[in-house]
Amino acid sequence: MQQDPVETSSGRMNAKDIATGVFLIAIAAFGFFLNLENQQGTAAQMGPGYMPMLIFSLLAILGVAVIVGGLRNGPDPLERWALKELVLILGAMAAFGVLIERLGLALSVATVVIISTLADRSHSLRSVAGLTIALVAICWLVFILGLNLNVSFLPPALTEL
Amino acid sequence: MISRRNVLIGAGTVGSMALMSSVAKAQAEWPARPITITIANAPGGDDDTLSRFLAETLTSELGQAVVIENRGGGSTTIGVTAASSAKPDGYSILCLPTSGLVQTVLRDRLPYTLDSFTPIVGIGGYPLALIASKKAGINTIDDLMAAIHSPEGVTYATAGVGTIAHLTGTTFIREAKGKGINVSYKNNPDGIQGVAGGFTQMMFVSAREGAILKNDENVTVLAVTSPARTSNLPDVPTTAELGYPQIDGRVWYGYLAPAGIPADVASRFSAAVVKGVQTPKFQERFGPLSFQTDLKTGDDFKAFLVSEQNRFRKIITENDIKLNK
Amino acid sequence: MIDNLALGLSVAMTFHNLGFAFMGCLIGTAIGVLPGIGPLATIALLLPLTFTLDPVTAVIMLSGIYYGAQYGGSTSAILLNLPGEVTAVVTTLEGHKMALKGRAGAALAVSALGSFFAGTVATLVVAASGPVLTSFALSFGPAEYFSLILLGLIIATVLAQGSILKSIAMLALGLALGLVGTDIQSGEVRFSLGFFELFEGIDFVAVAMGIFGIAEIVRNLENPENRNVTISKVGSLMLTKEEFRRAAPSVLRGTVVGSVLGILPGGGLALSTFASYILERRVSKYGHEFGTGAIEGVAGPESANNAASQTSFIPMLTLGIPANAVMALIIGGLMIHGIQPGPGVIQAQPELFWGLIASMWIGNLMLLVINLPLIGVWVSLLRLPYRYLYPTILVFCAIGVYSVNYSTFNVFETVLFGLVGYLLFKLRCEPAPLLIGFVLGPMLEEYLRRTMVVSRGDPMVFIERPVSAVLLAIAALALLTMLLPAIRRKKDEALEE
Repeated sequence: MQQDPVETSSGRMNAKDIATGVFLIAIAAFGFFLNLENQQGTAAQMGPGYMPMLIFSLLAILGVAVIVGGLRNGPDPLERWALKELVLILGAMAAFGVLIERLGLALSVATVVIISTLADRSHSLRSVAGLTIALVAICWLVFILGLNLNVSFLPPALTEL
Repeated sequence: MISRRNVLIGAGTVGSMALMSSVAKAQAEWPARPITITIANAPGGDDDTLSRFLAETLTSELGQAVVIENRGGGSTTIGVTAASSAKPDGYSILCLPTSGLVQTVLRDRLPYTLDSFTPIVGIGGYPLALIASKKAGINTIDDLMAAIHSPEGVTYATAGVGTIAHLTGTTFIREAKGKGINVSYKNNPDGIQGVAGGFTQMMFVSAREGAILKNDENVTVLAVTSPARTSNLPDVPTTAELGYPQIDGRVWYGYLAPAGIPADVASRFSAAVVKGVQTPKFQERFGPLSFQTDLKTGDDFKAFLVSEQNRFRKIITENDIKLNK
Repeated sequence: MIDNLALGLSVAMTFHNLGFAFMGCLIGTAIGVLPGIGPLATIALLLPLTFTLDPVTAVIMLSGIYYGAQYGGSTSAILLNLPGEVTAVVTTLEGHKMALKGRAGAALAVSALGSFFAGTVATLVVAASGPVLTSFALSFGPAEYFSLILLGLIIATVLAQGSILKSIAMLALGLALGLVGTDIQSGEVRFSLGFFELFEGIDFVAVAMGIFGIAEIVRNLENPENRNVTISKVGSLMLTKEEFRRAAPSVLRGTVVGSVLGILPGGGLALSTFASYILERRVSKYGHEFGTGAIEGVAGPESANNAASQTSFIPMLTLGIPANAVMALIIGGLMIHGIQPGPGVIQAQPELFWGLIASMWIGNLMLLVINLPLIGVWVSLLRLPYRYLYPTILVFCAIGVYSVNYSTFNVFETVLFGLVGYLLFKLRCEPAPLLIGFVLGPMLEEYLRRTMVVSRGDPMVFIERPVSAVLLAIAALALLTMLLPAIRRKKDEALEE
């Protein structure tokens, strides 16, 4: 569909495929290393290391094949990463993991909302505040009242006093 | 290893001394807020069902909500680890199933030992039932013995290495002086399916599960491991009757608290559990499923846990059952 | 059978039981829509409440939750590209693409109607031939399962939208991820890097939420045009005549595939949606539209999923063997009521058995009644500006992932897989084969190793057992038809040069 008719066999590199291949080979290599401690056994009596050996070999072979293919089917350069958005979204999620057992549901949800809304410039202070309050309320309704989830809503330190 | 554990325990002691004043305060009015019972398995297991049922009586006895929290994963080690690091204030209780105790013998890099806990009360559990595959041509105990003594040995299904069914299966085959090959399944129902399909020859299941299969055309129930026959399988002989008195397989459940729980809090919790198990409501529900009440409190329960640990250790070393980690 | 169904209907149609069926379906739909919060935890939570109910009523309500959740899972897959359950992965492929084209209403409607039809047929299958089918399920041994799953993996590469080679590579990457955790046969823990949390493997919800949910949010934020598409066109809610005509045969085929595979307790439910999707793609005249939002790709798998959820009751009702953890829980609930599911239950408790069967159908009807009017509500969610929608998705993902095991480890796992998902997107790799490899890989190894243990090391069993041999032959054929054109193309290219 998106193929460029002129470029088919001109020998230009597909950087995306080559990076994919390198990624696969790296995973396979790491896997082989970790698999050293598992007994392989034989085909008739497979040990815990037998199947991993097969799968990582397959992965490495596929990695090489993707690289070989990538040498010819390009060009397809690597794309720029949206680093700011990526860091903020992953950061919001990670913050939830750090805070949920320390500060309870309400503050953790608020933190997720505040960090993640930084990723979209069209948000104003008011819209963030409104969304935070709305989501904290919804979460209380759904997870605390409705599903009776086993998490404390307010910071646990408060309830234990 | 040992020295690091001592350091940890030491640190824990200092920490709990700092907590002492607040614990002392909490003790006076315990329970002042909901109590959490941690289940070290996913919802739906026997530990979960029994605890949820008991929670009702506990709630009315103690005057506070008793909440069940499932922390499955890691063959019970995740839930037990979480419970071992909770505050010993009587608000965090662990439900320990047999397999949780086996882990302390089987694995040597766990962040807890039995000493990380104060055993409160053990409630009993289910004996095991020995089932065999009619589909694979095993209809009687003699057929099974023939398979066990055949040159290639018997295949027995388990829900994995180190489960009670596995330990009991190895012991049984060893006592019968035969040969067996463990076929591991993800869980008991998968294993039962393997036996019913004739792909695996025998299996130890709980007597509760065994009773479902008593009229099955593909499976036969050959024995139960309790000292006396069970109410739900009255026609099935015990392993002792068959000449294997050493087979002592059963799954049991008990409640433990992180070490250092105030003694009177422990005894109040224990009394509430004992009362809950003795209610006719509990007995009417679980008795017919062959639940065998065996209440042990405090030091009795602790001595029981230690003796079980020793028993498991003996089976594990005798049969050379090993896990890397 | 008519008499029996009448008995069943008379049990299930009491006002009391209808009410509980409705409640179960409603709760099930609600939790199904929320990612991560599954029927298992909910049923466990409600189990003590059912102790006071009549056993028939209890089972009717609990099974309502079960299929309500199966259905609700597709709603979030279609609208938000969030597969909360294994069976919903396939639904994201075409369903979410349909939503992007402004046909979210149609996707949800076809899913509801297809599920209802499939549920009705599958209920009749359970009623008419449950006991006969049981012996079929039992004759499926480890060798047959292995061959079936291998076949599934091979044809799963058809899922590829782009390069076949890369999609096979993603499948292999999924297989590799599936290796993490305890090796079932030996009990040894592999690739856990010392984390107890990885003893039982990488969590499916964490992988799915990370690769689909989180990575998708970053992608959408990156391309503002992307998200505006969703908002601008919501389209009509109901199916057009053309859509209905195209979907009908797919629903029929999906029903057959699901009804058959659902009987197999060891992974039939998971395979049913993949199998139906692949079948549709091969059989349908509109196969070329797949990947851009073909309605067949929603209708088939959704019907298969629901048919399989119904027939997966067969092994439980006739043998007492639960097909999955939810079934095990329902059996546990029945036993506390003093009822032992298993061979005798049809004779001993006819009103329970037939009442449950009738209630399955009523449950499906309820789902339709609950969900058709709700489609409008769900679709209007898409009218919410994306800048409000994405923090909401993120919050629900976070809580959902955490609640699976109450473990913050799972939250961090999701973060990692969000990163992996974004990397794969940037390298133009399809994530769906990865998830399929991740789900099927561990089963493949489990059954392979078990076959070899049971056969005492003799690999001939795979071809000596007829069903297994046939499945393997189909797999070999599929592999050949897939490779031949590729090889021929290579040759042509070489000649041109």
